[in-house]
Amino acid sequence: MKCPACRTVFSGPVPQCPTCKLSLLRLDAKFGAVPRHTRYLSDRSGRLPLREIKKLRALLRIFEKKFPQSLFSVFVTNGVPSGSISEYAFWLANRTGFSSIEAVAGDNFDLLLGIDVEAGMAALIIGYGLENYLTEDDLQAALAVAENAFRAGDVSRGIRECVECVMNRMREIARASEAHKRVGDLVAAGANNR
Amino acid sequence: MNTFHYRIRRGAVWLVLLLSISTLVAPIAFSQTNDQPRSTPSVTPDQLVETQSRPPKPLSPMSKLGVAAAVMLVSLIVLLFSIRAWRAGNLFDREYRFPPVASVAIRLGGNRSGGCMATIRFRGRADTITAMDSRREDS
Ligand SMILES: [Zn+2]
Repeated sequence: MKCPACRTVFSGPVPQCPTCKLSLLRLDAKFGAVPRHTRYLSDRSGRLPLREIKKLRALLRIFEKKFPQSLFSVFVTNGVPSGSISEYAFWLANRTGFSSIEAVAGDNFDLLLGIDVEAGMAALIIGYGLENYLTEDDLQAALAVAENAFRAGDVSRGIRECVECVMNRMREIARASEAHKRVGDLVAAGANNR
Repeated sequence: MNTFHYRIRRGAVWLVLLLSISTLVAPIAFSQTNDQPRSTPSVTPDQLVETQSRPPKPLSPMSKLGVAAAVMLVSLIVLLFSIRAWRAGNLFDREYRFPPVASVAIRLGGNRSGGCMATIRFRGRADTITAMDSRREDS
């Protein structure tokens, strides 16, 4: 795990970053009030056409239909005041009511894609519940898929590609996990019969 | 599944709905041709002559049946195509659930997310970290 601010690698339950002392409380002081946001997609940059917003919301609704525990939210902004998009995404993922209030700790399967159009940066963050299933490499791969579109200035296409990539990966993982469980059940049943 | 399939599906549903309505309405509309007068009684003799010279041509029952059959056939084809689009779009695919994680180590004070993330810089400085660079860096 890396610190969203200084990228220091750490493990275990650290209350703050050992290097830069970053914590959620510090970010509260830094970012202040939670910005206005809507379910699925919030465009604070004003760069996404309404038509595209509608389409993306439809896609994110389908995502939620397929993975009822997960809510994939997208937040597009025109710059993060005195911070980076990775810090902002970490703060938003914990502070905004994108998902239900009960979705905390291991029950939080949400994803948040934060895009700073002005700085040209994007961050994809997941809740604790998904950590056993999606790796940082998976998240990086999803951003890599969207990179070209983002670079070309086509933010909506980038979002779509990123969401579809995560959707496919999560489906793969869920199927593999179920197959693994089935094999485990069969082995257990076999052992009981003996 | 993507938005393209979603669009196709929505379009197909509308088309099917429209055709279904037209299937119901068409026979009624055709059947009215015999019962209702084509024009109101005229005042001038010229107009009377004109009306009488063009008598209404009612559709034969076979033609009506043909039209209805054609509409049904088109509806069926559209329905088949939309079913194909639905299947391709995987819209009725099943739901996927993950077993919840029993215990987690809360990091940086975040009770929903501990900062497990990936970042990219897609524009800006020359020494930028792109997704590919970041992966190379990690390995
Ligand atoms: Zn740090």
